[in-house]
Amino acid sequence: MAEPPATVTLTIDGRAVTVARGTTVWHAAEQAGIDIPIFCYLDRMPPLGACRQCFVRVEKMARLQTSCTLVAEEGMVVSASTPDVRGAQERNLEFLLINHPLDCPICDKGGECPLQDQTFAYGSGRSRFVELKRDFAKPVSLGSVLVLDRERCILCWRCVRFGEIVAGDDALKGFERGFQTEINTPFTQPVRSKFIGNTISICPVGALTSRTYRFQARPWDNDAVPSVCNHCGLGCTVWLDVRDQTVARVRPRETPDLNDIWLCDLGQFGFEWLHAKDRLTRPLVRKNGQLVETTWDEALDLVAARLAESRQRGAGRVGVLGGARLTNEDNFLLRRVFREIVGTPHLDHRLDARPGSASLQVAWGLRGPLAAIPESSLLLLVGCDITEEYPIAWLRMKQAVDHGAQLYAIHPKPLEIHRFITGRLIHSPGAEGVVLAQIANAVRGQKPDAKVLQEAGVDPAVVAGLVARLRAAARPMVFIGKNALEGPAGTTVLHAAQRLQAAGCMIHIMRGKGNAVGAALMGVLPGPGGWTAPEMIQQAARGALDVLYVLGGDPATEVGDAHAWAAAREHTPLVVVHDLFLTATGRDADVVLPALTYAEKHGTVCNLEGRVQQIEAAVRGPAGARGDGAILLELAARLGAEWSYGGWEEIFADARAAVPGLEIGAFRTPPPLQGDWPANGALPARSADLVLITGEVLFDRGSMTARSPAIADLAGPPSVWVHPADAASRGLVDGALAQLSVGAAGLVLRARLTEEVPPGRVYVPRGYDAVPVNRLLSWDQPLVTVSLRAIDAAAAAGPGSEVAP
Amino acid sequence: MPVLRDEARDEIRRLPDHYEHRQSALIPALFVAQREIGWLPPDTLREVADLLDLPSSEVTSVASFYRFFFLEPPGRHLVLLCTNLACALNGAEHIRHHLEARLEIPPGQITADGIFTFRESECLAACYLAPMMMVDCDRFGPLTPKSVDEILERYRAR
Ligand code: SF4
Ligand code: SF4
Ligand code: FES
Repeated sequence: MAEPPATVTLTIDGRAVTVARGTTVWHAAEQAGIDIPIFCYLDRMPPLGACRQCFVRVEKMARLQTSCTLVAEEGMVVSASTPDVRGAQERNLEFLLINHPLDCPICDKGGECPLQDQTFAYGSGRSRFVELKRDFAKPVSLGSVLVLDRERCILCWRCVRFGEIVAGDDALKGFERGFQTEINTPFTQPVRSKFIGNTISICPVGALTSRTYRFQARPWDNDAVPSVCNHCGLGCTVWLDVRDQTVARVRPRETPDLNDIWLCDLGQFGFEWLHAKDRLTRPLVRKNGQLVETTWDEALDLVAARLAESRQRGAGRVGVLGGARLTNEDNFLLRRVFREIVGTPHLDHRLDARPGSASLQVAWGLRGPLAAIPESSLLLLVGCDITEEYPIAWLRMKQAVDHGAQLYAIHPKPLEIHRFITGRLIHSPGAEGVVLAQIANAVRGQKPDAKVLQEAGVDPAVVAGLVARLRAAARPMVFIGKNALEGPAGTTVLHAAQRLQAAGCMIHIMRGKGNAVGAALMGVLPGPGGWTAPEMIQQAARGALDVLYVLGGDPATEVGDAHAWAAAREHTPLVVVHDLFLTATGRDADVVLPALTYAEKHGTVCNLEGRVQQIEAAVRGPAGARGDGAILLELAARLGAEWSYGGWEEIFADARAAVPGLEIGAFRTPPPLQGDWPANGALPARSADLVLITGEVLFDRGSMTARSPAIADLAGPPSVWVHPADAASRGLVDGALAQLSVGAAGLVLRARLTEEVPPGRVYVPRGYDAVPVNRLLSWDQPLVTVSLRAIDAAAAAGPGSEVAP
Repeated sequence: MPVLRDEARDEIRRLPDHYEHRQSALIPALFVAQREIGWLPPDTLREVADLLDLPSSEVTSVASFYRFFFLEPPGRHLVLLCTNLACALNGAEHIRHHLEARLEIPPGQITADGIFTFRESECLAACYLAPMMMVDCDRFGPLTPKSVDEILERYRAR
């Protein structure tokens, strides 16, 4: 039989339109530039046909048709503007407005509201409805960021379907039925989602609005400045909407092959720190044991003098930590100043790595574009908590799963996306290397050792299923996360991953926040003979450094061993910090220089794909603070360099000369894995005590997020997750204060009873600066066992303990 | 923490085997849970969600859609008055007023003595009885104010 032709031609409003077979009439009209109003249809989701706004007349069809659901056929004759169609559109709007309050003057959506616009374009301007309108108590608060005005809702179901189809979190639903239907969460509880901000952008009316933006501005008040989210490392494109030198909101900036039209809630609501009251505005230097305000000249002279002194004592007595929060241009200058002028090879942006960890032995980033994830038929997460660490990447994985891909996760605890995971490989802590090695060997034909797998805590049948699928999969992908790389089995994981790569898997190294990949590209990595970040910290503790220079990082809370950092600080004569706030590291530093944020800078950044993107300064930033690049240029001048840069473009041009292929819009994809990593087949010793596992969470209370009330609220108090059985044996109830101790070190946290952590383990989210879990961690001991006990609040204020709010 | 008995949990776990989609087992599962507890408290809805591996929001949404499920403890008997087209044309409105007066509550509430939950309903598939109502599992109609009073008396005694 002959294939039907690939295109069909139809007529819309007298115009012939040729479209691909399968195109809907609405899209055909769109391609022809003919506007048909819609509410429920959103082209990121399949059509639903709920709102009836998109009616058209089709010749030979008895009734009006919804163009969003109707597939175009050869020879169809469609009219989108005849009086009967216009009449239907008008009546439909009249019906929608029956229950709509028309409180546009106080509605945040006013000025960018499809209902408003379409009523203006297609409505009659009059209503025949004289009865009383529905009236609801308003507004309904649905948690930290979302507010619902029920009477404005037109029941288009976009927000509900977003949760079902795009995010997979089913956060909002319709309750009750018919006339009484309302959008809500079960029992109006706070919404549980990492993506709920997107429902605000796609709601075609003002029913869903954001708590951070409510009543802040009108769209026409705002200047939209293109930028790039600096949180997780995926570099989603955003608009910063600026009013009166203040970022009023962050919105997704459409980039189809990156974040598309979406953002995660950290990206969307985690910006209020930009304008926090305690932004640093004056340089601080330590005098008689106290940090005191000083002038830029004095601070810079002092730092330059000490760097020059150190240079005289010999090369390599200065260490530089950080760079992930800087632009490429800042990082390029950082490298030039310290490598060329100061003459030290000790630079490293990876300040949260453990000495010798696998993280330090591999280039970070995705080995292919994010947009290729949905083409894969098998996705394997290894120590990568994807929704907590790289949320927008999950949306691509969800698409893959919807296309039939199988998802597997090797992790020491269940993941929140467990419903979508075909095979859960929840292993005993530290056993990820052995599990992955067994899988890699099995893919290459060796029989997996069922006994070893069982001892590692995983089901051999699930492994067998994974192996069979890996052999047959199209474009299988493995995502290796921080937990696996920084764990005791990191190199075993890399060893196995390389073998999987040889068997056809694409291996992604899911590591690094903000502009970490750009920092690496610009060379903020150890030079010849240079030390890695943890080596610098160890060497500094032995007095090997004169100066430690820290930029946009907080080693006191981020280094995976608080004591190691404290020793480094103690034995280094000068610690210099660039930061926005007085962090724990800053409080103990000798010089603190107030810096600018990404929203206050021009330049470029790279995301985990190695995609080079431009950002624009949206606001000026507090008077007195300076960009990291500007500070570095001042130091360079004081150290005798005669550089002249007229702006970021000139620095970028220099960087391009040094880094081939660095072009805005281009990808500097890291190379495939290649290395010689030792594999260790031994399983870690079983422990009868509770094992502590830690991990990144999307919502935490770090230096930026603690100053973003919406995010701090979503994060909740610092907590320890305990399995109900372990809690019961310790008399712990949900929400109670619990003391978690390792030897003499202890933290007081809120117990969160959940089966999301297996018995025998406790989980503590990282990123709470006030109660840093790194106090309990030690580089020498990759697996930490802890004791846990219930305490009463009065007894909690002991030394070495911090009381959670 | 499970609230349902192990037997009920097993029964719910087995339900999806009868259907092509797991979602299809949801309504039967809700009936099992309601049979056990008498209504569907939030914890029970979550438990059903866990047992079927469905989002608990979806389970709650479905439970709120159907008039046979109770999200609050119900009265001893359920009075469902059909107000759909056939019944409306045959005077359901009049019967509703009568029921409201007799039970002393509007639809959607429980009588003060806790005997009746009174709800309006969509079509109950007995249009030939219009105007009709259902009390627990029995259908009655065509209703008159007098027959309504008799029916209520009968159930009050049970
Ligand atoms: S809240 Fe908005 S997006 Fe959700 S159904 Fe109502 S109108 Fe649609
Ligand atoms: S996924 Fe990452 S880059 Fe994208 S908005 Fe969220 S935090 Fe920002
Ligand atoms: S847009 Fe077509 S029915 Fe809603």
